[in-house]
Amino acid sequence: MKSDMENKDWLNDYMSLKQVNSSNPFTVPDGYFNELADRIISRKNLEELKKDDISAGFTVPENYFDELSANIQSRITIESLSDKEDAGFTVPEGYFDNLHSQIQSRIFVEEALGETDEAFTVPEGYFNELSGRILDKTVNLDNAPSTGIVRRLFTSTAFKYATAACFALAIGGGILLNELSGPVDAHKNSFLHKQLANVPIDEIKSYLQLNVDAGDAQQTVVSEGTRVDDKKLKDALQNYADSVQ
Amino acid sequence: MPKEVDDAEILSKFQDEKTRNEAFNLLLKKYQQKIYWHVRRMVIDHDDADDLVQDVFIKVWKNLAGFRSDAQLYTWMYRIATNECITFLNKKKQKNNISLDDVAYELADTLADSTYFNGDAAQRKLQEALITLPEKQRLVFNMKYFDDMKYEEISQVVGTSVGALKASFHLAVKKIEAHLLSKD
Repeated sequence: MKSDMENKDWLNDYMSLKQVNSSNPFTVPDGYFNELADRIISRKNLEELKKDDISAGFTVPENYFDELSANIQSRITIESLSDKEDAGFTVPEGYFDNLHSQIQSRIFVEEALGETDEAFTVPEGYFNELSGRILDKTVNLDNAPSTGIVRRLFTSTAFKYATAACFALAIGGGILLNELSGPVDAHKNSFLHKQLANVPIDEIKSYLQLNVDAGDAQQTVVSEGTRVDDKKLKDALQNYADSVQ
Repeated sequence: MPKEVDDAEILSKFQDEKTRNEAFNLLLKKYQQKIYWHVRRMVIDHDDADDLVQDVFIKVWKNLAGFRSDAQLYTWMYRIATNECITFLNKKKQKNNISLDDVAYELADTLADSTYFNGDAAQRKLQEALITLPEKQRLVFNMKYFDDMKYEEISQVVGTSVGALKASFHLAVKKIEAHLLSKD
């Protein structure tokens, strides 16, 4: 015999709940339970297939699984050997004991060298401008306005010597002209000189011995800078020439 | 109306390899609706219930060979179904990172949108009240109110003492009554 609780007598204490229809309010699609068993059977069969044929149609080489454990073991051995730190290499005795101090020494040396480099200085802003200046002389040169191409036409040694000879001739000619343009040259090119050139030297000597005394010579020497009267001299020479003829 | 097959006969046939499929067919036909409604009342949505029912019977198939006849077959299957439902609801909570209250809101929305609900306003209100309850109180109330199960049977399903179940049930009923008396 069921207790009051099991006979739903407890609902008498809860009137609101008692008034609710206790039938199942949920529904299912039409024919759902007719198909449910079939669908569960189909699914169960699939599960069975999955359980029976774990390879799902795939195959492996013959004896694969027999050799698999040995292959894995070999691989593990190789991996463990390759993982060892020394890997068969050795180092000199006490190498690692001294390594730290050697590295420290090397660091000190490197730092010292680094400080020496830093002792040099450059003008302020040098490195800021350096790259710009280098670029101006290299990359940016192509972008600079073109000023025409200057080429050396004569670059041989012979041309250099010829040029030097020309300069020498020009200078020599200049000096010669300068010489010719002096009072002596003027005199040589004068009429008097040309006339005297036709007179033999002995006659000139004898004329001078006859007509010039010691006082004249003295005076002449003393007044060397005085200007010669060309007209008087010319007349005298003309008279001498006429007399000789 | 065909005579319902006895559980002992189903189990006996299941032990024999030749009649195993027949036994499973008999078990399905006997319990599929009970299990479905038990699950449906917990997850509300028909499609969710359909998936879970199939999962339940696959587990039954896999584990029935190890079933010990000191327990009733249907309470054992209810236990499997209950665990599936709780796992499903917990996954739903974790997936959406939501609290129990938020799960209740989700289930209420599902109920409101459900095509397969033809209850009246009072029945809808009762379901809305049930959704707000903790899972264990819902389980106890559903099995007691809708399935007319005894506390001893429910105890085998949920693994809780009869005394604790009675307390849970009364708590659930009080909350439901309060909800039904409240105005919307």
